[in-house]
Amino acid sequence: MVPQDCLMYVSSDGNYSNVVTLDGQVTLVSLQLGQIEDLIGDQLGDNGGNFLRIGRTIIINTDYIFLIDVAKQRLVLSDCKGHSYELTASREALAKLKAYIESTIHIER
Amino acid sequence: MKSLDDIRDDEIRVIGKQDSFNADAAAPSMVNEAGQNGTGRRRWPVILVAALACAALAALLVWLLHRPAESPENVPVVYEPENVVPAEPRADEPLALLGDYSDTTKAYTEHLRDSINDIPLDIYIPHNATPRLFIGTPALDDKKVIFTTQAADIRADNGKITGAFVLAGKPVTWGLSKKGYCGIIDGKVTVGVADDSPLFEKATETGGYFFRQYPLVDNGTLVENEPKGKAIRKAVCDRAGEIIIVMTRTNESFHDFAQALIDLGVSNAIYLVGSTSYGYFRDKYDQLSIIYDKQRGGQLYENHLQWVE
Repeated sequence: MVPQDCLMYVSSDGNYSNVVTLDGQVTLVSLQLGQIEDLIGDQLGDNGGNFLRIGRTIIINTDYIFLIDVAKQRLVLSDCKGHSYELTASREALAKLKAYIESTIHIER
Repeated sequence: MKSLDDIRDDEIRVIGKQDSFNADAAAPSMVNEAGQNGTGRRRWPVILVAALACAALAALLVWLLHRPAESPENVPVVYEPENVVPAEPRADEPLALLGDYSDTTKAYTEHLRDSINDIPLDIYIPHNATPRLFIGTPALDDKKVIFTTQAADIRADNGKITGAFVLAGKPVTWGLSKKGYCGIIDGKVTVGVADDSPLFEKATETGGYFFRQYPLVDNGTLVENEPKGKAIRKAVCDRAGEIIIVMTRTNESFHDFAQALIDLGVSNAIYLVGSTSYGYFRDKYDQLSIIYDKQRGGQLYENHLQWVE
């Protein structure tokens, strides 16, 4: 059981997944990414909105998005305390992610 | 359970919500006061412009078909300049070096990013360091190592290195299983494709290094390989004499990776152990960066291509 705000991202590794937590620890678990997505959805319900599935390979915690570089296909997650991770996704997915983040910022204003 | 296949790589999905995120629907400015999606209203100007363009095209066609024949004297003619010099073929132009070679003393690895044919690439260029092969798992605190990545494959049946391998002049394994080779003789890296390479013998005679891997690019020509799956791909490459290590950040086929290397200007390249195999580098600020930290463990002959100061 990982507290919601401690989970930074989860990446797919075949039939396994790498769970990356805020302390920089990477844990290989024997669950597929879809199973982890279901677990997050079941446990958090609408609060799971902090978590996004991006394509077939990653789930991210949107609280830690630091940079979205669509052109270079880079997504940087950071806790601004020394842990940062650079991920890669398709341009289309990153463009949609950027639009989503911008839309949530607009709503909150 | 959701399978990996129920979402495409170009989609995102908010977890806990029913539908995939629609980027168009997320923009509030596109929803009008009546609650209708603004996309439909925006189509009218497009349709109007298209209709006007069609009408203009039809008028032009009618005029072209019914215009009176012009006498040759009245036909306006555009002459090409007489002294047209054909453009020089770009292939003759020397390739600019990718790396920054201004610092000639400090041993470090330059890390560049590029994207070729939509394939995001990491490019590593070791500077002022000596290449070598190494058997074992390199320690992170060995500060002499400025770049390391796994080199030759390990056989699943006996755990030994696949193909010929020479370590500091001593042959460790023999045999031709893959036609690509990398030889390190007197600190110079040579990458090529051949059944028999004199570099194997030369490495044994001079205390050099040698290993074999899948060939990817042979004198600028793509080499097809049998494995057809997709994975993170890595290669050691010769680009106009500049030795670089290139890795994809996304899963790619051998074919697409080799084509991207050719488009990058690489003349010769062979594969390195791919996927999330272990590797790290040190930059010019002595910052250690782990490329991938997946150590398979238990492999007696885990071997690395390294640059050391």
